[in-house]
Amino acid sequence: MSKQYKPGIETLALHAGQRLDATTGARATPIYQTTSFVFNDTDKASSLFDVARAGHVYSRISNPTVAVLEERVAALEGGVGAVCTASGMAAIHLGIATIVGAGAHIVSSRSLYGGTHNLLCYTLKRFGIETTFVDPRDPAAFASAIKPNTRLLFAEGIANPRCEVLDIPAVSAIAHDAGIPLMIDATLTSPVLQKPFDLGADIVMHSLTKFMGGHGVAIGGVLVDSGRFDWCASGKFPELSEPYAGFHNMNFVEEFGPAAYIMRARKEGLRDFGAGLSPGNAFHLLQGLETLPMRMQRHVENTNQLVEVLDQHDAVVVVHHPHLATHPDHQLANTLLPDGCGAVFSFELAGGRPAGSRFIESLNLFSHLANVGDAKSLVIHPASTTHSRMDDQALLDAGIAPGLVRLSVGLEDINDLTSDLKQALRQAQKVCA
Amino acid sequence: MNIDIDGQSVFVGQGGVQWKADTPTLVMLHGAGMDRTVWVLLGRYFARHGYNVVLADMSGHGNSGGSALTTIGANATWLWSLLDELAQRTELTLDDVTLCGHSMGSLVTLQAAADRPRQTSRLVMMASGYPMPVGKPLLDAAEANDEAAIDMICFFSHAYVSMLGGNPVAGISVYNSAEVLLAQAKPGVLFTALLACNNYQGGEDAIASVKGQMDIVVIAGDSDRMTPIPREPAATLHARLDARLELIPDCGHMMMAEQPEASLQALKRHL
Repeated sequence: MSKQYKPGIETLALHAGQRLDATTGARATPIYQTTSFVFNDTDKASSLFDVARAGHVYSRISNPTVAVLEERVAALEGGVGAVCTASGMAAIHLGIATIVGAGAHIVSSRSLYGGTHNLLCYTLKRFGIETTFVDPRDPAAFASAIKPNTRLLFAEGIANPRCEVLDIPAVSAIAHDAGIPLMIDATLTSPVLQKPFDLGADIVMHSLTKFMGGHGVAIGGVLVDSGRFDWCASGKFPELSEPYAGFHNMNFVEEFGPAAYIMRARKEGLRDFGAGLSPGNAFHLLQGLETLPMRMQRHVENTNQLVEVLDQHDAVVVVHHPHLATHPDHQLANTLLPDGCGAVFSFELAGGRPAGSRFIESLNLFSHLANVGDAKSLVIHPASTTHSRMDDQALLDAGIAPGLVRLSVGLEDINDLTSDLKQALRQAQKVCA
Repeated sequence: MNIDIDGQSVFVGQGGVQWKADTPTLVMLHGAGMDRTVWVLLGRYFARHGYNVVLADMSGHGNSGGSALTTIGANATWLWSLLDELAQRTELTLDDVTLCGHSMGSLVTLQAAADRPRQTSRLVMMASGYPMPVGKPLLDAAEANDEAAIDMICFFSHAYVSMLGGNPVAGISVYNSAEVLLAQAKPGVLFTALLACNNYQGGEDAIASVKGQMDIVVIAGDSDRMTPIPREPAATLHARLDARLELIPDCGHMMMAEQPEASLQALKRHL
């Protein structure tokens, strides 16, 4: 869709979703730290419950501060609407649970954040939802794995931690041929580097904790609906195309058209699962979001330079980042991610796990912790932490070697980052010697 | 519900409430390239406040079959055919009918009211004007099924504050929703509908037919650039209709989405 007249991404990141408070004139989005909202009269109360008027009832379902963040992310992604959640994992769960139930099946990339893999492989199975994991570099594998009861294709736009780039146009075409939507975890790219809806995806989720917030002070997630998937034509989603006894017998497609999915996610999912975002966290995430376009540019610049330093270093066996021409997805990334492939990547050290440990413990500027997408540079050893609950075969399938180290490159001075990496690499080499 | 008119399926929403006997009828008709979902809040509200609400997807639009009709007159005839059929088959009655239209839908309801003034108790014209000329660049883009047509409509249909957002319906982007809804229109529908607006010449006669015969309300957005209010007071639609005017501040052409509460209050004052 053409964007000829739309405000630019920097403008949207600062202003989208907010109307100035008419009473106080507050320039920043106020924190509406309240559980509930007074009804002016009984008619307003019943109308809000009937979805016959606009407004807020209870902050688990919607809140003015959170709503600004939701609309801002929807604007940045080009979606019809968004729902914020207590975390990125809550967003994935909400995205799935809105249209997938017991007896249904998901086809997912096998290269995933460990928590996502856990949800799909173990937890959802307890609730009767099976998942088949496939190679994200092989779109045909997604097609082959689709069954009559498949209701969703899922993948990360750039996979964590080896940076496999998903061919979103190819996989979305496969999904649509089967009458099912494609959901993308776009956490590692943010809408600055890639807008999955423009490439054919139907649903996007983010861990807002990462680049969107950027400062590592608030946990949050968001689910965004493109509004472009035809739930009726598919015939596979009665949750949206038939009356729902759990909500006034509402037929969400009939009532809300393009916003059917995201409205059901809010009206059912936030109501019943309850993983809404707090207004305080929404405020913190909004502060970060304001500078997202500039931060992402700096993240990419720093990352590309560090990737080249590591690629040339004797202590490093391989660097997994599409910026490098040797990365299997380099060409695809040039097409789908022309502004950069993000700042989270991994590399393997000669000397395996002992070298990795020495490297991490020798770093001064990089913080050793379980997060990515912070303004500060971060490092972790996935096999023993973020992906530790994956068995050896799953780790192998996801390409996570014992000596793999994951970096999340921050916004520090590039010379300081380079120096820190080089001195830590020298320490790691001593282990090998 | 789906009902056949002239061999084509027509989709009709009811605002989530089944029609009841002996209840006034409120017809809410969408604009060019849109569908019933633009009325979601207002339709659901009035369905719970004393009306049998008829939310029809016009021919060729939304979930209705067939092609978009080429003239406003043909759409008005189609509308009464639909209402007659619904009155025969359902609890809907045509004794007390309010016709409420948005943009192109307002021209259709104007003509429909003129065609059957005795059956029309009230006429509500939202984001309207007559004549309703459509610029050649927009018509050309729509004829070519070019996305630029959607861009132009969305840009000129929203107040600037609405482009940035702040929707009282939590989490929903008014601007992006309009884009997607228009993009879902079948090829040719938008052009045919816009051309029907541009070519409509029965407005003066229709205004003469309805003026003084029924309650008439014109609801306008103060920042509407698609159907701006003429500067010359005598040229305004409400003046020519001798109608009451409801002017909604900070609002463009897409008033039901941009200012849902103000639109509701404006309607409530007259229904």
